[in-house]
Amino acid sequence: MDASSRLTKAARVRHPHKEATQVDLQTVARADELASVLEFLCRAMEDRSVDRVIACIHPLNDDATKFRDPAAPSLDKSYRESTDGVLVSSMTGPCCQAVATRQTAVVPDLAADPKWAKFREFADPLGIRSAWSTPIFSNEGKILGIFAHYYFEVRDPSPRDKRMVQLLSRAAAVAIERGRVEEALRELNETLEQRVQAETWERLQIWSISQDLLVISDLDGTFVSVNPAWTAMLGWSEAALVGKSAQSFVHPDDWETTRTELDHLATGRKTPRFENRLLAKNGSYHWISWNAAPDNGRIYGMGRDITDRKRGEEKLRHVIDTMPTLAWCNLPNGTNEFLNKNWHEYTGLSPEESHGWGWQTAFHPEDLPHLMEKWKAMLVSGEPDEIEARLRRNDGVYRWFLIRAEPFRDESGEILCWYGTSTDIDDRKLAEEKLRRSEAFLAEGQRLSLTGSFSWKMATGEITWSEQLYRLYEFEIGLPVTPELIRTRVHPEDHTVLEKMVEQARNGENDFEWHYRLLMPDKSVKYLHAVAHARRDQNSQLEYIALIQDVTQRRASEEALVKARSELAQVARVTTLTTLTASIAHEVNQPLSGIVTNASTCLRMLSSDPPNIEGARETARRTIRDGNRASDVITRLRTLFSKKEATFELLDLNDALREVIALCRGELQRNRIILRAELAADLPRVRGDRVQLQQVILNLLRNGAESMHGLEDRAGELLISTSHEAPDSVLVSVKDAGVGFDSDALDKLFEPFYTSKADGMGIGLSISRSIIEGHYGRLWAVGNDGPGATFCFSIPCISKSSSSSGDNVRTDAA
Amino acid sequence: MDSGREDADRDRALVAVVDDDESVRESLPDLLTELGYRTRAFSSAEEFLLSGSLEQTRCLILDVVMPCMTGLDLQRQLNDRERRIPIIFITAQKDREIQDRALLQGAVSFLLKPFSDTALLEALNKAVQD
Repeated sequence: MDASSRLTKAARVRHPHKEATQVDLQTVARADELASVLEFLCRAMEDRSVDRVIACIHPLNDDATKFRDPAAPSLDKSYRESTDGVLVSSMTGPCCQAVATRQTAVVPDLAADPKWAKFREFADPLGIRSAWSTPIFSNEGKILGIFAHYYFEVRDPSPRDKRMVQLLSRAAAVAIERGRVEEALRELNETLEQRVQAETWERLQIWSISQDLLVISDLDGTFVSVNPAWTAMLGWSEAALVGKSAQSFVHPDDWETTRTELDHLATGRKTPRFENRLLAKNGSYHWISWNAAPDNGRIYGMGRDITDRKRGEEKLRHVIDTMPTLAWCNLPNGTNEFLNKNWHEYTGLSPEESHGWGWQTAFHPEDLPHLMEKWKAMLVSGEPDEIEARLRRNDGVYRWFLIRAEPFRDESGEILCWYGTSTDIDDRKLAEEKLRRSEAFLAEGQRLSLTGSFSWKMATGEITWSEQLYRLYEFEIGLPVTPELIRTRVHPEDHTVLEKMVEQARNGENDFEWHYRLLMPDKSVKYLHAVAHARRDQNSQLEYIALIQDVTQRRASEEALVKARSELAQVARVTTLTTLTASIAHEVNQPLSGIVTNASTCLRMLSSDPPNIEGARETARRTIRDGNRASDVITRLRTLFSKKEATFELLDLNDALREVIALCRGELQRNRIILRAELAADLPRVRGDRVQLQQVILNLLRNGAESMHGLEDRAGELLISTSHEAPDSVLVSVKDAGVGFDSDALDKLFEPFYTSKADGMGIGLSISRSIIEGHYGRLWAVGNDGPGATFCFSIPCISKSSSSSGDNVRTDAA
Repeated sequence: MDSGREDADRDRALVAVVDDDESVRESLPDLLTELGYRTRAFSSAEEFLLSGSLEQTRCLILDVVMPCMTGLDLQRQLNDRERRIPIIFITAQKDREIQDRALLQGAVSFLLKPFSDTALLEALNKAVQD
């Protein structure tokens, strides 16, 4: 559009000339748009002006650096477009200058000043020759915009126009300010709306993606809104839920509780958590834990699936109840919260009777004070502990229990509760009691009997001594015991005995005993008798338990006794001998003296004159008679020696031998004689008098032992053996390492009254021989290759194939 | 003394034998008779004491070991009664103590059985001479 047409348009729009002294501010106030207000003001200016003028209003932005949204009703939109956004600093036109100077800028002749050249590019085509701009101020003096006027000729603004502008500027200021406010509000609204939208969207997200059930319902439990979790968890579609009552979905057993909660909520009370079961589409139930709050006629609820936890709890409850112990849970204040089924069944107390402090009644009144003291101390210290107390069983019997408790803390370390168990230890307590008592007895017994004990674990070499053993050895109680330490006390002569004992132990022999002496620091000697027994401990390790008794006193007594006995025996022997002698003398002398007297008489009678033949005959008769008498006496004496009659039976010589060995083992050991037995297996049985044969064996053993009495350079070893050498007889040998015999002595050995022993009567061997001969056997002695002699006897045996008849034996013997 | 009187004495001399042993009572008196003495035998000391032959007994051949009253007891008894009869003890037992006591109590001789006739004769001569 050319300039004239632009102008024309503007002119056409021009209102009829009006006298206006006041612009209707109300109109301004009511007007909605800033732009229309400002256009109105421009037209008002143009209309009221006498001259031909074009008015425009250029609002500024907030910090007065830029023009925007111009109002120029008489110019077409190209003008508005080119001026919108012009920077003040560009100083394109008088408007800029007005802003910069905060004063009206008048340019009567645009062409006059070259700085308006740019402005003239616009102005010239329109025929605008002069311009003037007036700043529009707010009440506070802030510059809000510019009122611009353009003339078509070179001129100054008329005073009338100036006055008009002042008037209109106020209105413009109000409008612009209001415009700004509205803009700000609009912006604010927009921002707010955006914000709300964003938040709404976020909330929607939460609503949608929450795995927990979110629900909005009516106060009676009718579902109004449900989130997608309902579908995901329970399988119901939204449509199936919305508008339905919660009752349709809550487990019948839980509806009462749920109903109650809903009622609470309906009254406006916020409810603490409650749980119920919801039905899933597939028929199963889920345990849900609910948080709900009422608000303005609605209930807002959030439900968490605790099915797993519930199942876990159930399992745990089941475990706790079936645990073979009494278990419980107490609160930090000491009262009881939960007791497991076993507890109730055992005590017979119901949960109501035992919760809180009720459980105290189950304990023995004597133990309760101590128990409470300890419990209170634990609550304070927070440390796990245990205590023993008697708990009453449902039948009234009190039994000892071990009560243990441990605190359970949350993440911050606060104690939430105490978990505890009560275990029946009554049997253990009884056993402990018995053990304590028996230990006391044992210790006392050991002390009184001067018996000590030790245990020796073979695998580890660990040696443990009882207190009494330390006293026996006169070591400080508790000193670590080593074989070296023991050796310092054992009598030097008995070190071999000690070593032999150790060897027996290493070989794992079951039971063995030994005698040995201790040489004490004060040079006194103690005699000890030890018995050891092998056992396996709980790890199947070999362990020896030994008892060692101080038998010094006993030995002294025994030795005194032995001495007395032997003296007595001696006396007895002497007495016997004396008696025997007297008996012999009397028995034999009578006939003898008769013989002598009669013989003398006979001689005299024969030599008398005349000879007394008759008398001589008589005396001779008497002599013969007396001679016979004497012979009878001898015979009787012999019978006297062989004592009682023998009773024959079938017997195992090994058995008989073992009995004898058992009998005299102690005695042999005391004399430090080492007895070895090599008994043939499968020894055939013999026919004989058990007691008599044992007497023979005993005699041989004793002889052998005595022959080794006082040996110093070698061990006093006695070897007894049985063998089945010949097909029809068994051989028993007793070999010693003693002084032995020279060859001519060997012959005389078995003669009665022969003895090489100072105190021996020498009857033993002769009697032994007669016994053996009574068994159709032989008894003899040979000297050894080494030191000592071997005494042997053989007697007929029962061969395995033959029957055990007496005739057979005789045939064999023969 | 002349031998006649000696013989007469001897003929009248009563030698008592006290012994519980039958063979002694059997054989000894015969020997004594051959030796020329009158003799009587008693089986116990009590029998002798009750016999009434005390007065006549010139010599007593006495056993030691006898049931009830022993030879030594009899010896004591006679001593108490002041009957000084010479005693020849005969015994089978060699007991020093008994022998000493017997001799202390005034026995003439102590013979061990069996004794020879010579020993007996010696003892008798000693007894009768006193």
